[in-house]
Amino acid sequence: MSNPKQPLSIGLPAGMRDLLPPRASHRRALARVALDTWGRYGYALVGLPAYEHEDTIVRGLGGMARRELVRFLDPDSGEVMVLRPDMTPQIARVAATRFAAHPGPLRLAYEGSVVRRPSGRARRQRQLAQAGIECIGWDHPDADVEVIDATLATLRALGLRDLVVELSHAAALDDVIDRVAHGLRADVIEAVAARDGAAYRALLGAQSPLAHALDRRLSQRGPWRSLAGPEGSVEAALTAVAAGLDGAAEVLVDLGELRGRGYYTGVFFQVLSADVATPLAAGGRYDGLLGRYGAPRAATGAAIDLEAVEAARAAQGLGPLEPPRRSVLVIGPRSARRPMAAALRAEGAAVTEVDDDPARADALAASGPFDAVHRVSEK
Amino acid sequence: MNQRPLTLALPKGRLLKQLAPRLSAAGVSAATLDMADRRLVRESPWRDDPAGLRILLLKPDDVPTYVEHGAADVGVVGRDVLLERGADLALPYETGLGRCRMVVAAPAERASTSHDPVLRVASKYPRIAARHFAQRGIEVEIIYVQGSVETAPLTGLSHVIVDLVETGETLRQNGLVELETVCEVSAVMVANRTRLKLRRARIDALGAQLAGPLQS
Repeated sequence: MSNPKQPLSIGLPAGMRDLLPPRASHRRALARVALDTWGRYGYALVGLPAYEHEDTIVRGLGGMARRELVRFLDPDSGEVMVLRPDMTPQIARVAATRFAAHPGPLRLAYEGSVVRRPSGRARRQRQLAQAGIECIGWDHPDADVEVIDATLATLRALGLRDLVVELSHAAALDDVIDRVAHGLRADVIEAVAARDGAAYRALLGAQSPLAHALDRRLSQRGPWRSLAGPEGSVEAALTAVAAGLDGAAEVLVDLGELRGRGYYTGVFFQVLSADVATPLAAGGRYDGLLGRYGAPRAATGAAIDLEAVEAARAAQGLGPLEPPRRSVLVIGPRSARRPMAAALRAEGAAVTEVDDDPARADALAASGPFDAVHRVSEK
Repeated sequence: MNQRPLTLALPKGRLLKQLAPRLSAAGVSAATLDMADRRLVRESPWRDDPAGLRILLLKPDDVPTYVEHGAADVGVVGRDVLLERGADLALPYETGLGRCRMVVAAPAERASTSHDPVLRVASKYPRIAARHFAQRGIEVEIIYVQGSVETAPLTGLSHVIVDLVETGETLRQNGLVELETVCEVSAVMVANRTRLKLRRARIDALGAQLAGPLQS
């Protein structure tokens, strides 16, 4: 029995939210345009489950903090499940199992919500709307270029201007960090992630060669300019991708970027806009991922943050992606209103029907913005 | 998009006074930093950008929030605030200002923190205090207080305190001694991660102006 003095709590858990009209349909339109644009590059949509066994997800996560996972016990099996915090491990599982015989490159696309516990103060959101692609089984810079190109095309199809691509490389820092003593590594990683030179110098010694190597990598950031390096080097890999992009967008480079450590294995990137403080899209090469699902294969991919896209579209003064349907209210007895409603629907209008009870009809007519109100009566 | 002035969040209070000479050297007018003025958003000329500098004067605790959300591009804040509150930010510049130490202190008769079944710790910094003792495997009860922390062990509210110490004078006057150093604290210039990339030249210029003489 509920205590009548205590108000019933029907609020949402922290970070969860409803998406009301018309935003929900705007969001859906964004996803549709993204998948359509990627579809033109050969990326085929896959549907993925909302949760999976913890082990299946966790083995594909790399650097994501375990505390960001939302877990629960399956009451039937007693096993621990995880609401998906990212869809790439799921794609890797699907590619390694269902498409093991595919000659490659295999091109898959996905769209949906992922759930993470918040980290940092700005990340209040726990449910994130993502859409993305993965290009599997193509161990060549052309695959990275294609994924970035297709993602830029998608963001432009979503109406966005002034996009900036930032390129980084996983080996740029891993080579240095792997030489840091085990006991210090976690603290050094935290300091480097925060670009806190004073902190890693305090840990390593200001004169240590490792601190100097980190200083040098962290200072290698800014507008793209060709980086010389022998074949197989970080510099050569970045140059191959930057050259392939061939002016598709303004390109920056940052060799001090630690995002996705333990996950990316080669060139990785994010797409930025001065209009929002979070990246619009991010991705990169993770050749080690499919091996964790038993079928080692090269892979590269990208995901778009649909909420960041919405925020950027608003900042750039863009309205809904698709014009709203003409909305019509038809009031009258059923036999009279149904033929008219059917005719209007055939024209593509959004038709709301209501009977001719005056109180109900008038309240409904007053409640919403209708482009037209028709009253019909029996002849 | 490049016309928008760089936005700098500054903490009101002692740190602001210490920053003032460096800001003046960067071309920020004295009137901009006049604390008698009640405006919280101020536009100032700036040596490195004709668009100038927009300055937000905030409570120190709020500086990381504004920068993390991108409402400010950069900010100046003590490491104590960052450690206590946690924020996903880049900390590319050390200012060398506001240097002090986070310490564990107790009445002089207490020699260590490791002999009580459950050590009671009073602090304005519950997360920093909890992490410090957790790393040492010492079980503690954290008692959050907002100020005059030194009162807690004198009145039996707690066994020890975790607090910031600059000269140690307040501890001495209250008969407290330092038992352990938790960490060194100073003020850093923090940056929003995305803006650090997109507005790099101006952020680097401002960082160099606010950085202390010890910065390499």
